[in-house]
Amino acid sequence: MVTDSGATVESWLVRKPVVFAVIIGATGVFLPLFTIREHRLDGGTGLSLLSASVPYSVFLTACLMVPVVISLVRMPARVRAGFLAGIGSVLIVLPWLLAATIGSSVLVERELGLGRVAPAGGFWFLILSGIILFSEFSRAAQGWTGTLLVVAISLCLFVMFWLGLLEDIAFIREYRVREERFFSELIAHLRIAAMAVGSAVLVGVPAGIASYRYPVVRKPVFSVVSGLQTIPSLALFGLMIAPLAFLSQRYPFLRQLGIRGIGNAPAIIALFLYSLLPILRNTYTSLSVMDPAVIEAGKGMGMTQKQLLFMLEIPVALPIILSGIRVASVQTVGNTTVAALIGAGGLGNFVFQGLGQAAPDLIVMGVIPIVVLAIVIDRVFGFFIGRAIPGVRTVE
Amino acid sequence: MIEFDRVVKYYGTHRALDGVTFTVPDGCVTVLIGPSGCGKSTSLKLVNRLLEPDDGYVRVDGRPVKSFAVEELRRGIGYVIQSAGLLPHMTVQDNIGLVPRLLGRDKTWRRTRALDLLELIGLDPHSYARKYPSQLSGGEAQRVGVARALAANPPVLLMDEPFGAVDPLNRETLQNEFISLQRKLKKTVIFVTHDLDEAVRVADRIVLMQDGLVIQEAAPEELLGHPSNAFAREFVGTDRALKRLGRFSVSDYMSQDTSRVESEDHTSVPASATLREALSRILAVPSDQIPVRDAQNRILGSISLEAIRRAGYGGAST
Amino acid sequence: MKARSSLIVVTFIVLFLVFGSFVFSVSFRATILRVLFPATRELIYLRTGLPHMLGEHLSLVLLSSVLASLAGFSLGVFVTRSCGRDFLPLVRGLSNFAQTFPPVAILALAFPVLGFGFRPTVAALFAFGILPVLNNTIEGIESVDAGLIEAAQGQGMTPSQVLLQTELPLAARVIVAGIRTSVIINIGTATIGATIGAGGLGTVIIAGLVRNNTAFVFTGAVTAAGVALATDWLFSRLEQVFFNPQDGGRSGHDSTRHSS
Repeated sequence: MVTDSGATVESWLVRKPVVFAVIIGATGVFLPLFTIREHRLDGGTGLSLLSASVPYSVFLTACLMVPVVISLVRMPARVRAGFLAGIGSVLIVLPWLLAATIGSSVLVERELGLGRVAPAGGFWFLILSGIILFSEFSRAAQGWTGTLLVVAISLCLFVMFWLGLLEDIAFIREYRVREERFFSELIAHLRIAAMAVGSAVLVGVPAGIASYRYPVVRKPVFSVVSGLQTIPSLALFGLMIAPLAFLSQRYPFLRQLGIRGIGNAPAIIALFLYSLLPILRNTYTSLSVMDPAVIEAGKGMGMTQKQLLFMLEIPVALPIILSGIRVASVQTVGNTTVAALIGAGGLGNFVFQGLGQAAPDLIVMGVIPIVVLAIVIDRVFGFFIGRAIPGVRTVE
Repeated sequence: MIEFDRVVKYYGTHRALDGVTFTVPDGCVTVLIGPSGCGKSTSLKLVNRLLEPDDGYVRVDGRPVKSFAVEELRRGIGYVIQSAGLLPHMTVQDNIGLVPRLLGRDKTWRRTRALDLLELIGLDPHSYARKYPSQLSGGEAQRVGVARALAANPPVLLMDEPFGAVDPLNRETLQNEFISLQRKLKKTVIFVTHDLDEAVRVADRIVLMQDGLVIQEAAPEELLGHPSNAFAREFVGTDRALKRLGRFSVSDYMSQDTSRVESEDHTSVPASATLREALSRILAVPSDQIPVRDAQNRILGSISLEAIRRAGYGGAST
Repeated sequence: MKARSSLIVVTFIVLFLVFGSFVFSVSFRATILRVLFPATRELIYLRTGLPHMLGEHLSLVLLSSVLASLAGFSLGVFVTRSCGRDFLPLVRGLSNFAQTFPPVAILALAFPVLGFGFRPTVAALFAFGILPVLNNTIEGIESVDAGLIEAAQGQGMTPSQVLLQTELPLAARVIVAGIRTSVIINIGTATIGATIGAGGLGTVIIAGLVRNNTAFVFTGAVTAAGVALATDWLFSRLEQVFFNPQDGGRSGHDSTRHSS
C-alpha cells in the first residue's frame, strides 16, 4: 500500500502494479474493443479503437499516461492515491462511453439498424486495468474517496443506461427484449436463494449449538453436512428429483403445495443442504472461540444467565455466524443459477437458454446480474459485520 | 471480614479442599499461595459463588455467602482474573462501566466513573476510553481489568493470578502500582498467586496451601522467618532470609549519622528501597556501608551491613 | 474400537465394490435401476458408456486442477517473495474479489470467449481453480512465524533454502487444503461442463433432464457424487498420512465454497 508519504520518485517509478495496469490498459487499445454483429447469432467483425477513432485513441493514451506522470510528480501519498483511483474509475466508465459513441456510429455507418455492439477483449481489458488501479489505490486514498468513486461509477453507468445510450450494446439488446421476464426471474432467483439460506439458518444455528453442547453429536453431524457440500450441485439437484417425484405421487397434498420432482422444491431443498455447512461450522466456531475467561469474568461481575446471553454471548458470536451466512448466501446465489437446469426459476434460465441457443449475448446478459448480485450480497454482509459489532475480529 | 470455616470441596471424587479454615481481615491484602492444584483458586471462587462448597461455610461479615442472591453478591465483589477477561465487543469505557450498568447506574455517571478510574490506574482517559480490548497490550488490559473491578466501589476485591499473564518487567510495575493503589483504597483483598516474590511484595498476610489444606497462615515476615513444616520450608526456599529482607524498608534501619559517608560516594540507596536492595548494593562496594538519599538526592544518613544483618537475624529470632 | 474400525474398512470395501460394479457393469446397473425406477422403460443411456463419461470427467478435472494448482501455487509464491511483494495486496484483493464470482458464471462465460467443447471447459475450470490454491498459498506462507524465518536466515540459509526448507513445509498443510477445495469445486463445475459440450458425467444428467428420464439423472448424479466423495476422502487420508493427524478431517482453512 501507499501509506509511506515519503516515498521517493524512484520507488514510484518501479511501483509494479501501476506499470502492470498501464500495460493491460495499453493492450486493450490494440485488441478489438467490440465485435460488431449483424444479428444475435452472427460471428461479427472486430473493431479496435485505433482503427475507429483517432481522437479517442489519443484521449485513452493520455488517460494511460496520467498514472505514470502522477507517479513521477512529487505530492502527498494520499493525494496521489486519490488521483490514481480516480483514473481507475475513468477507465472503468470509459469503455461504456466508447460503446455508446463509436460503437453506435459504426452501426449507423454500416447501415446495421438492428446490429449490435458486443464488448470484446479490449473492452474488458480496459475495465480490468481500471479495476486494478482502483482496488490498489482506493484504500490508500483513505476516508470516503473509495466509496464516493464507487457511487460515481455506478451513477455514471446508470445515467448512461437511463438515457438510452447503451441500447446498442448486445446484452442490453437481449435485456430489452425480455425486460419483464428479467425482473420476474430476478425475483424468483432471490426468493429461491433466500428460502434456502433462511431455512439453513433455522436448522444450521441450532445444529451448531447442539454440536458444541453435545460432543457426541458433533462428528456425525459435521461429516454428513460436509459430505453433502462435497457432492456436485447438479448431482445433488438430480438426486432430489426421484424421491420428491415419488412423494408427490404418493401424497396428493404435497402436489397441491407445488412439490414435484422438478421445479423450485428440489432446488430449494438441495440449496438448503448446501448452505448448512458454512452456517453450522461458523456457529460451532463462534461458540468454541468464546473465551471461557470472559464468561467467567461476566459471571464474576454478577451477570445473570440472560444478561450473559444477550450482553456477551450473542454479540460475540453474531459476527462469526453472520460471516457463515455471508458465505452461504454468496454461494447459494451462484448455485441457484444451476437450479434452472431442473426447472426452477431464476436467472440461470437466461444463461442456459443462451448456451442452448449458442447466443453469447444472452449468456452475458444472464451472468452479469448473477455476478453483481453475488458481489453486492458479499459487500452488504461485509458492511454489517464490520460496522454492527466492532472490536471483534471476524473469523472467516 | 471473610471467613472460611472447615470448607470442603470435591471435584468428582477428588477432594480439592479438605476442611479449609482461615480468615481475611478487612482492609488488607491476604495472599493465597501454593503449588498448582493446592486449592487456592477454588477457595477464591467460593467467595463469589462461582463454585459452591460441599461442606462448611464461607462468610462475608459474618453472613454465609449462601444467604445472598448470587448476582447481588457478585456485583458487590470486585473480580480480577489472569487474562483480564475484558468483553471483546465493548470499549474500555463500557467494560469499566459494566457492573455499574448492571446495578442500574446512568450513562453519565458510568462515563465519569470510567474516566476517573482510568486516571487512577495510570492510563490516559481520553486516548484509552474508546479503545477495544484487542487494541490493548497485556499490561494495559490487566490495568483495565482492575479498574473494572473497582468500578462499583466494592469493599471486597478477589484477584485470581491477576498479573500472571504479564511479562516480568511489566508485572513488577503493576505490582507496585497495585500496592500504592491499595494504600489509598484500603480494600479487603484476596489475592491468588503461585509466585512467592509477588506474594512477599503485595501481601499483608499469606495463607500457604497444599493439597487442599492450609499449611500456614501468617504475615510474610513470619512465614519467611519461621516456616511451620518441611513443605513450607521447601516452598519458601533457601533464600528466604533474603526474601524476608525485601519486606523491610531502608528508612526504618538507617542511621541518621552522616559523618562517616562521603558525599561524592557514587553508590547510594534511596530511603524508600528495601533492605534487600540495600544489601545488594553494599555487596558491590568495598566498604560495608553506603549513603541513603531521599527523592531529591539529598543524603539522609547511611545504612550498614551490620544493621541489615541485625534486621535479618533479629526478625528470625523474634 | 478395533472391531469398529474393521467394520468401517469392510463397509468401505463393500461401497467401493458396489460403486465400481454400478459404473462398469451394465447389467448390474440395469438391475439396480429397475428396482428403483420400475416405471421407466429406458434405463441405460446408450449413446455414451458410463465408464467413458467418467473418464472424460476425470480428465477434465485432472488437467484443469493440475494446471490451476501449479499456476496458483507459483503466483502465491511469487507475491510472497521480495520481488513480487508489490503485487501482494493487489493479487490478494483481486483474488478475494474474484472468488465471489460463481464458478458456473465463469463456465458460462467460457463459451462467448472460447466456444464449445472440452478445451473451453478446461480453461474455465483452470481459471476458477487457481483462486483457492492461490489464496491458501499466500495465507499459508504469510502465517509462517516471522521469527522462524529469521532464525532460518540467521543460520545462513539462502532465500531459496528458506522457501524450500522452512516456509513451504510449514505452509504445506494449508496449501494442500487449498488444492483440495479447488479439486472438489472443479469436480462439481465439470458436471455442468456438459452444457457447453465438454462431455463428462453431466452429459447423462442433462440428457435425463431433457428427456424427463429420472433413471438417467440418477445414474449421472450418483456417479458424480461418488467421485466427489471418494476424492474428498482420498485427500483427507492424504492429509492424515502426510501431516500431523491432529484433527483428521478438514482443516479450518478450506474455504467452504465447494459449490457447483
